[in-house]
Order: sequence, then C-alpha cells, then structure tokens
Amino acid sequence: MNGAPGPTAPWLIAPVAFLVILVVGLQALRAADERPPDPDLLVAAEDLPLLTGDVIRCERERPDNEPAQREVERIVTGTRVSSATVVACPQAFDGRRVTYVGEVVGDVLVRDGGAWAQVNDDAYALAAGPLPAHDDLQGTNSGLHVWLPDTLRADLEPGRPGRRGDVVEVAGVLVRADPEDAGGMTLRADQLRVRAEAVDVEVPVDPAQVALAAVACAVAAGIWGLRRREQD
Amino acid sequence: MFLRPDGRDLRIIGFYLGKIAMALALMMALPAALAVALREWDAAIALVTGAGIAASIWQGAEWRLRTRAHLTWAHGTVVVALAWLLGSVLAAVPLFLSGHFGDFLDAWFEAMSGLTTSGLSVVNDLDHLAYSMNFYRHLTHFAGGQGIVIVALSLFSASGASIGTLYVAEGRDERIVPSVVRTARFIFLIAGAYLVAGTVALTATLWAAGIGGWRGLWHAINLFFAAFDTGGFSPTSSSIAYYHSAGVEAVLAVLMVAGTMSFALHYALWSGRRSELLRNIEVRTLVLTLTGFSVLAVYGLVRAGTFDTTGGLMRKGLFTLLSAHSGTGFAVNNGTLYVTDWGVLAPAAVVAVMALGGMAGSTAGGIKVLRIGLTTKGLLREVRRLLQPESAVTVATYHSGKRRIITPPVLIAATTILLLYILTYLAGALVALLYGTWDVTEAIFESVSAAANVGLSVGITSPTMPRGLQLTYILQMWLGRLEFMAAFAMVGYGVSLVGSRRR
Repeated sequence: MNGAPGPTAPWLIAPVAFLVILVVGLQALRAADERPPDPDLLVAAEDLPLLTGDVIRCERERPDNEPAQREVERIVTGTRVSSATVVACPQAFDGRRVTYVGEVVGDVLVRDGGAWAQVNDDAYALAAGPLPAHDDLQGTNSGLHVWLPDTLRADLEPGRPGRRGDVVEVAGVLVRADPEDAGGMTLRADQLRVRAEAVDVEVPVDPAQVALAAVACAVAAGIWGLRRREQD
Repeated sequence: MFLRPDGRDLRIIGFYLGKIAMALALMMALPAALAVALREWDAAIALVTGAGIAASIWQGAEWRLRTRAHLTWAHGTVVVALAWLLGSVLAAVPLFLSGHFGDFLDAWFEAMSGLTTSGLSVVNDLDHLAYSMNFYRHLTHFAGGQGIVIVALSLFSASGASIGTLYVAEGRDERIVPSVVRTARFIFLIAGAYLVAGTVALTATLWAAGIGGWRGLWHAINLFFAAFDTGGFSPTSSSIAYYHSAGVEAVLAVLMVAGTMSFALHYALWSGRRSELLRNIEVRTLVLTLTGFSVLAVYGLVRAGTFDTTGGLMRKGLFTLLSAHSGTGFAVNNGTLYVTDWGVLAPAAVVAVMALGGMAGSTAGGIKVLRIGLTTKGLLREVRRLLQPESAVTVATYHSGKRRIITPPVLIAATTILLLYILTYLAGALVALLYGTWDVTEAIFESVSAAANVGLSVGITSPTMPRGLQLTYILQMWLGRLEFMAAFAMVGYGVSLVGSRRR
C-alpha cells in the first residue's frame, strides 16, 4: 500500500469475467453433448407391481403414530417394496416377508457362510442405466443391504463404473435392526432370481471436451514458453 | 483509519492465488494419471481439462503478476478467504465435466464440501462414478484438510517469512514449531505416517471383509483421506454401512480421533510428551463431551427401541457420535433413519456434538472444544469470583502445550466465535424452514452439519435440493472452514476497495 497506487478496475473485472465465461462455457459444452438413455437397459418387472400408495414416513416417539399403523395395514406379505418405502417407515416392515428388485452394485462381500450385497433400486439400476453414459440425471442412489446365504450367491456380477450389474429379484425377511449386522437394516434373502444379466455400457468421450482439454493445456504451455523466452 | 487497497495490492493477491491454482493443477494430475492407467478416458479428459485451466491461471499469474512485494496480514487474509472460493470453483471443473452433476452449482457444492472437509454430497449415481473421479473427490479432502493454502505456499515459496499470516488466517491457531514452513512439513510428516499405517490397516480389514485385490487398496486410500481429514465422503452411496465390518469401523474410529486431534497435540506426542494427553484442555473437554453425549444417545436409542443389542448401540450409536464429534460425517445407516427410526434424543445428541466439533488446529470443524473449554472455565471463574470476597483475585488457567492464563481477550475471542457459529447454525436452519418442506429437527440437523463441516445428512442435501438452500450451505461450509474472521476481513477489504475507488 506504499508508493503510487495502481488502477483497481482491471484487476477486479478480469477475474470475474473469466469465471463467468468459464462457467457459462462449461454449461454450454455439457448441454451440447446430448446422451439419451439406452432403452435396452430398462428392467420393467411389471409382473411384480410395487407396494401401492404414497411413501409414508413414520417417526418414533411422536404423539401421532397413525402413519405407521396405516403402513402396516397396507402391506401384503410377499409384496414388492422399494428401498425408499422401507427406510421411510422401517418399523412397519420389521420381520415382514417382502420381494425386492434391484441392481447388485460394488462388491459381493463373501464371508461367514454367505455374502453381503448392496442392491440398488434407483433409476440408474432399473431404468436409465449408469451415468455418465446418458444425461438423464435422477438423483442419488438408493438401495438395501441384502444378506445372501451361500446357496444363493453364485457368480453375481455387481455394477461398477461402466457396467450395469446383475438386476436381481430377491425374496426374504426384512430385519430392521439385524443383530448379525450390529443393528443394520437387512433383507435376509432366501430366494434369488437374476432378472437381467450384467451389461457393459459404453461411456463416450465428448470431442468438444477433448478440444477444450487440448486448448487449456496449450495455453498453460504457451504462457510457460513465453515466460521462459522473456527470462532468457 | 482503514487501509485503502489499490491495484498493487490486488496484484499481490492475484499472484498468490496463482500458486493456489498451481496446487490444484497438481492435485488433479494425480487422479488423471490413474484415469489413464484404468482407461477411464472420459474422466481423464475431464481431469486434464481442469488441470489445464488451473495451470493456465497459475502461469498467467506468474507471467503478469509476479512480484517481490511483502505479503501483509490484510493480503494474507484475503488470499486465504478467496483461495477457498476460487479453489473450489476450479476444483469443480472436472466434477462438472464428469457428467454426474446436473449443473455447475452442484459441482461447486461438491468441490466446496470436499475442500472444506465437510462431506455433504450431491453427486448423482455415485455407485457408477469412475474410480479416478471418485478418488479425486476424496483427494479434495486431503488437499483441503492439510490446508491447501499452507501447502501451496510453504512447499513452493522461496521463503516462509511472509506467509505466516496465511497460516493463522486459515484457522490454524498457532505455529507448532517456530517456522511456518517447518510446521507445514511436520503436518505432512504426521499425515504421511498415518497415510501409510492407516492404509495398510484399512486394506487388511477390507480384504478380511471380502473386498480383495486392488479394489481393497482403492477403498482403503479413499477411506483414509476421508477419515484422517475428517471429511466424510465415501466411495459408495451407503457410506460405511457398505462394509458390514467391525474391523473397518474400528480402524476408521482411530483415524477419526487422530484427525480431530490438533497438530500441536500430535507434535507433543511425537516429541514424547505423553502427559499432554492427560492435561490438555481440549482432550479433557473432548472426552467429557463425547462421554456425556454418548450416554445421552445410547439412552435415547434404548428408550426409542431403535436398538436392543450392545452391537447395535456401539456400532451404530457410538460410531455415529464419534463420526459427528470428530467432524467426519461417516454414516453407518441411511440418513433418513435418523428421523424415522432413531427417536428424538439420539439425533439431538448427534446435532450437539456436530455443533461442538473437534480440536482447534485440526481438520475438524465446528465451534471447537478449545472454545467450549475456555468458555466453561471462564464461566466458572465468574461464579467463583461472585462467591469470594471482593478483594480476592480469581485467575483461571488452562493447559495447552503449557499452562496459560485465561485473559479477557482470549475469552472474548472464544465466545465471539462460539456465538457466530450458533448464529450461522440458526441462519441455515431458518433458510431451510423458509421452503416449508422440512421440519425444524431436519433443518437444524442439516444446517449444523454444513456449518460445522461434518457431512451427516438426514436427506435434505441432494441433487434436487433448492438452489437457494444449496448456496446457503456453500456459504456455511466456507464460513465454518475459515472460522469467520478471514471471510469478514475479505468483505471489509472489498468495502475499502470500493471506498477507495469512489474517492
């Protein structure tokens, strides 16, 4: 702050303008790269309709426990449930026999005479397929933890980056606080059927992004070269 | 009289911000190399683009803004405050280009959450995210947790003499050793030692849990970054519940405690001064609050009928308490269950420990147990003073490295920051309540989690959350990480700048 003061306007305007151009440019770049979902990845499971009605949320220790009671009344033993319905009112499903359809993702953790599997029933599992192969963003993942005894777990292919895993239909008993998993919510399966085999999905590279990467690296290298020349 | 900044000051600030861009470019280069090795070409292109843009800014700053001018306290404070804003925007570029974020705001939220070691996430379809991009998310925890500003400037500046201000402005209370550069290197030594030990232990427990081969190592490294830097991101959407492993949870618990310990305490232990563990005010306060709120949470879970086994109470209840108190934010169950299955007392205990936070001078957020301890001692001193003769001199002391007296300025500083945190928690909750979608419990839970840089969520934070609330949480995460003062100073600097232009 000593000496002759310099102009401030360019120092303020330039970075703000750069950031605005950067963000708008990147948004435009993404918007131009249209990626429709692959209809072949849809797993309809129409023969197993989901539990009907809205998702009802129950809360413990609240004076009005009526929602939980309503939830209990509408459950038909063996009916297909979604993970969202179960976590919204876990007490209502505790100890009930249910059917569940979803994609095995990540790892099948084989141990203790069986295996743990995370089975997702979100849109990426049952409808649109994994990102970023398409641009139909449908929110976060959701699923249930499933315990598979040794007799059921043979050769499941879990979903991973670039692969939609096996979509399975499991039937079993839902345990709200499973003592075998230190209180975790578990679907202890006794039946399993693979409804759709795992499939690799192609993740295309956007040529415009390649061009942008090349330009960004070229600019950095160019300025570095200029600096070197000036120093010499 | 306020200083009137001019173009020369902005040049200095711009030059040092360029160094932050350099650190970010290097940070992106590592996962880019992993992407190439794994043939994840789309992720590689996104990461190279981000690195190229950051490197261009760095080179531009070196070319046009290079200066030998002295970095003043005002410059340093503004650099730190802006570094988190500019840094998170640049860090958001690869995330946005990954195709897992709806718009740039979502990607910016994720980057800010990563760098501030918050751990709240709005990523779409995490379970199919490229390995390299997922690794990059966790790497932002490490870069932010180890203090990206101090990292960039201490490792790449010729001298540490002019950057001491950055260290303090970044929310680290004091130097551990006299030189800032040596302090930064000690921080990296500690982090390096824990990185090796933690990764080995996690890999072993993950292999035992059933995740073999290189995937076990990949999970271990990511989990280490998130645990030791009290971040909270996890490689999969179901966080730590994914592993169903007491061993993994035990190792993570140790790393979370190590992460929430101040680096000064690490240094004391490193130097063989183990008695510091028993005398340090922060350790004592942390043990007291963790014990007290754990008892409350366990009672609440038993009363609500949520868990009736010791395993459930320990591995769900106490792990969550530790995760919240340390500022990590790892979850061992679906976030919705805090509302639908945990009753009312246990979530309240979780909110309380999130608000309190970990130790000052660590990667944890929140009010910090040092301030809680100081405020409590100050309050007790006042009560004692009232009960003693007027002529009596009442002195309160605390132990932090050495015995210190609680002076009025120390107490005022502690209570001021404490008050600012509480106001920020309430402000965030009020903004959420404005939308009319969530009840007050959920609004407070999520607001405290954001402002205290924790990352536990009851489900408000999602890709579909309102934009206004998303911006509020971004602001809260930034303010919480800076502990307010650097942010306020930056605003004051801006006002002075506008004032000087008008004259």
